[in-house]
Amino acid sequence: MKSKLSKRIIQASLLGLSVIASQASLANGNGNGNGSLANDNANIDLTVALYATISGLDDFTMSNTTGSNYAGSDQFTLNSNGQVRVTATTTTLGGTNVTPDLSLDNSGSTLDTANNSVHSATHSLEASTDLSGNNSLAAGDYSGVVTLTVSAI
Amino acid sequence: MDSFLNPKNTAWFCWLHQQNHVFFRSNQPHKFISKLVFVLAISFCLNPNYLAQAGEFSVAPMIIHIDGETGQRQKFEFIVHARSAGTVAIEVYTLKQIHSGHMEFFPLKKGDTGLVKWITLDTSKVKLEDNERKLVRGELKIPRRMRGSHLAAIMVTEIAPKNVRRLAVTVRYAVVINLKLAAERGRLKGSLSALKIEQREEGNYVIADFSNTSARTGEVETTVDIRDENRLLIERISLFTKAALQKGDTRSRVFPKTTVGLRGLISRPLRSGTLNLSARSRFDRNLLPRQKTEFRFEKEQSTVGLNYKLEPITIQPTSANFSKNKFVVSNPYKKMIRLSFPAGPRTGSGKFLFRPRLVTLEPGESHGIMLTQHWGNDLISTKTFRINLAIGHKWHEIKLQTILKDE
Repeated sequence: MKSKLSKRIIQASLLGLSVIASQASLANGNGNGNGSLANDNANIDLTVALYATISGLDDFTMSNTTGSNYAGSDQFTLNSNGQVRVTATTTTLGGTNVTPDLSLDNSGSTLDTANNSVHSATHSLEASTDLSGNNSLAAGDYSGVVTLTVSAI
Repeated sequence: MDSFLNPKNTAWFCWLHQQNHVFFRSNQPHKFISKLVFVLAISFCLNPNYLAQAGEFSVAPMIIHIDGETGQRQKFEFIVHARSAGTVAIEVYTLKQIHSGHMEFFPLKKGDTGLVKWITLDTSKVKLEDNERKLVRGELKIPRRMRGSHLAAIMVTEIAPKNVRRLAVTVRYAVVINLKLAAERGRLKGSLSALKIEQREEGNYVIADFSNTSARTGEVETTVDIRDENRLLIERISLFTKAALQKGDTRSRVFPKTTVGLRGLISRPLRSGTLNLSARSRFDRNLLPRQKTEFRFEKEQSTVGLNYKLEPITIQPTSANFSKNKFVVSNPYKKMIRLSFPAGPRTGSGKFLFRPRLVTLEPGESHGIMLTQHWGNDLISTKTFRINLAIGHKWHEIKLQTILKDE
């Protein structure tokens, strides 16, 4: 009975001491002892995901320009929030061995946006071919698939 | 100002973060509440129209960095957002660096090994309604005893109806998985080979191959000193992969077990003879042994540019055997041209000096050149100077003659 009482007294005094200690700590500004409000800093860091999107691009027809040259093009908008590369590739025109030459903005088949910057601009995709060496090609429609690959590297 | 962080988008952005940080490198400390407040603040401050104006569909993120451990399973996920309704195919592709430094994507085929075989996706096709976003989940099961850096791509391709009469255009987005294994150890190893000069229509290039023989990705920086037979420095140039040049990078990235081609344009004119090439490469922080080679350069004859003519200069020396003549050079072409005049002896008889020695002219521009000659005690004679002319980057040799006034 006596020991139970003494246990309770010890518990109560420990509780009291902890309350006093916490009050003192608050009053002293997190226990730094200078009596003023303490400042605490939290670093914020945010990594925004890289994304890109191409819009406004449609299928197009290559039509006769001069002599045996055929060409066609379409425009598209590229939006990205960082550096991306767009690469144009194509299949042969159905049932033939004709592979159109592709270019983006009339300058090679790849397009790179600038590093560390948001990009929003209109670009063009051009396809052309010279059929002068293909006299055996029958008149008619030939189709192919142009693929634009958008990648981060 | 447009923003890709509109409140709608922020919801999935933050939700993704909760789902396990695809957007955040997995080894970074998380202070989610702070980030959430920051994202929301930005989102509400900026115009929320950006993605609404965007394309048929988009994918984010386009690169996922994973710092993994061998024998571990690692989850990843990305969002496909459709502006207009459609279906996209989700497929694993292998990713290879080609000689130009560009990356090429190949569909998975039998016998492929490595990261592409460790990936499983929860779906191979996603159907989306107008302005709908869907989450695609994947998992990596990294085998034991693996090391180094590994790359693969998840190709998101729109499925469009076949067009039989026109050139059908398909857009696809590559989500690159860049896995770095914690077990990655050891020094980066690489070597430079096949160092030489190549003459092309657009100019002279120093070219070389660089091989990354280690298990992880590194970035190489190479500079080459070109010296003539007398060890005089002609030019110091930096070499890059074609891919790095196009991207405007200052270093060229080389993936494991890959050989890429490096090149650098020589802007100074070269004369036939023996040239000494000395290359120094730094692969990440490691300085590689200097590579030296002697190269016999034979200038190829080119007919382009030979129609550029400089009118003969009439000289009238003074009694002190000295003459000073001013003449004008101009650019009749549609490209920029450069004219490089020879350096004469500075002492003794037969001294001559062109000022300036190097002139760059935009189309239609003209510039005055002063030629000073001094014969000393020698007999006054006419001279033919060899001038180097660059149209674009290709150098040609043209002649400039002097004639005496009495002749």
